Amino acid sequence: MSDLETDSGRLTFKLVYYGPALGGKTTNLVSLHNRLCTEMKGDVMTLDTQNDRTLYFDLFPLGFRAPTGVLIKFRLFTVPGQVRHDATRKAVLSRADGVVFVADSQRTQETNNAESFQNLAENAGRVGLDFEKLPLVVQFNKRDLPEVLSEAEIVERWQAAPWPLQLASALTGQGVVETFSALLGELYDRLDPEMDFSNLLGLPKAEFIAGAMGGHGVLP
Amino acid sequence: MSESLRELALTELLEPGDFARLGGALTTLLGQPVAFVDARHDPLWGQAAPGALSQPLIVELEPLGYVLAAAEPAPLAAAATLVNALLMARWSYLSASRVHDQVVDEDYEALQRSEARYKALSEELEQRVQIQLATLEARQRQLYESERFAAIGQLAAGVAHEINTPLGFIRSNLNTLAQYLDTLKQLKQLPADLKTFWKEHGLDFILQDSHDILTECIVGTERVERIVHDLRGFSSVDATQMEWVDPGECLNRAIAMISMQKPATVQLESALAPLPAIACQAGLLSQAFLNVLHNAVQAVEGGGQIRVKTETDAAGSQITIQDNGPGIAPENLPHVFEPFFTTRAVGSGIGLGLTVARDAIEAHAGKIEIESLPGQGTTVNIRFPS
Repeated sequence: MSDLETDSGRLTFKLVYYGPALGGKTTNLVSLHNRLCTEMKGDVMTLDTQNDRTLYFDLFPLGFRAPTGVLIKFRLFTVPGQVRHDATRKAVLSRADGVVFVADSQRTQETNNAESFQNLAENAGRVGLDFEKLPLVVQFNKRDLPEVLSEAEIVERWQAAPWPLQLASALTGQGVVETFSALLGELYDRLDPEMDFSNLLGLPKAEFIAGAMGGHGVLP
Repeated sequence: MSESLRELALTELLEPGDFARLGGALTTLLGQPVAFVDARHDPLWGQAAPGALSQPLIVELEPLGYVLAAAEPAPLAAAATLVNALLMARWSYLSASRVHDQVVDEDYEALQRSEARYKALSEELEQRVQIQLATLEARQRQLYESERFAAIGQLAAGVAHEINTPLGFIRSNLNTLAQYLDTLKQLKQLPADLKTFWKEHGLDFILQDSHDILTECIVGTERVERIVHDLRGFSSVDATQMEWVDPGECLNRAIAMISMQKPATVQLESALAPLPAIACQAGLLSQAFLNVLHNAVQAVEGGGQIRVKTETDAAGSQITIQDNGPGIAPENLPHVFEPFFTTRAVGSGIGLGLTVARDAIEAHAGKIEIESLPGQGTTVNIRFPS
């Protein structure tokens, strides 16, 4: 869970982009990097790829300083989506504070989405995360492609689920920031009761989200 | 678990030797002494000149340390860019190898777990097979024993009948003899005319007949004695004691027994030469011969001939039991020694007779073979090596 180093005044959150292979997890990170103007923004670090497929993980670090002086850092990871990299996915998912599940909107990918989501739930349990309480946002990516599930279909299928739904096209940047913002909201709601962010950081929820995004300014 | 993905410190990304190599090279390039300090500005390597500028070394967000030199800002920034490029490469390698390490550990553990599970599974399976096998063997032994005792039961019935006949006439003879004694008792009163009395009571006949009766009784008891003697060979079927016996004796006993059981229409001829003695369990061997003879009798039940012959040659003893019954169908011939193989009607044998015989003969280092042609009878050859 979130790593608060009180002596050094740092609070680090680990956020993981999970989902089926070729669903657009890395593209989400790159797009987010291009659009956020957070106070501190690292590069998107990609670990050697094989034909552009993530082999271990990607990492996009960003952060801002809270009014109380605490440095709030977010480390955004992607997992390799290919089924055979399950052990790597577990290693990356371990100790995550929040997860974006990037589903592929194409009709042909429904089974892969379902299997990957099932895999997320199982791996969360295996690495000791309480899946019921894990801050989670479900993003349906690739809205720009033809032959995708309609919004009505997606909403109907997921309406019974407790997680916020986001529609996105990571390639064009549509919905990417909104997804990240939604996850920050979930994260705040989940951790505030025990960490008392208002007191510790001097940040209400809206300010917390705004800080991570870089004021309210988002690059066009 | 996730220790593999924590942020790395400058001293984890660079070895002490790396600082020396990098510092030396940058000192040459900048023309000024270069120093490295960590994020808290604690020295790591080198000593910069007073008034030195510093440039941060960054991989993720925050400086992991600084490079210091009393150089112009632009060359120093260029130096930091070089070091950062190296740090990035190191970070990639270390991150990948740490995750890889963890994944390999986990795969290996999973492999060991599944290996242990399969080992346990196979052991359990082996145990279950052993138990099933033991049950099966016990069941088979029971059947085997029951077949042996069924044969003994048949034997007992034949023997009872055989003994009953002499017992019948011995009893009848003894009754007659008792009546004769009543007549002789009258002689006690010393009749006046002994001659007339002798004649009237047919004492000549009584004396002669008493003699005949007693002779017949003696013959009868000898017959019973012989049956009992033959039977004794079978009474020890379970004795494990080995003795030196001519297998022909065992055969003789079996012939004597089968003779009592066989229908009158079956003729049994035997030409028996003495055979060299072998170490054997006589009861077991007798039963083996009896089982073979029993099959022969069944084959010619409606009328036919059985020939039993023994011979010796350099290789050992040969016993041949031949019948002129219908023979065995070629498709059945390879199976006749298999347990529970029978062509007879249900209830008239469970198909262990020849199995028992073969086991007994093989236990005596012997060999049993069957030749048969449909319509031409069956020949059973039994050999014992000398």
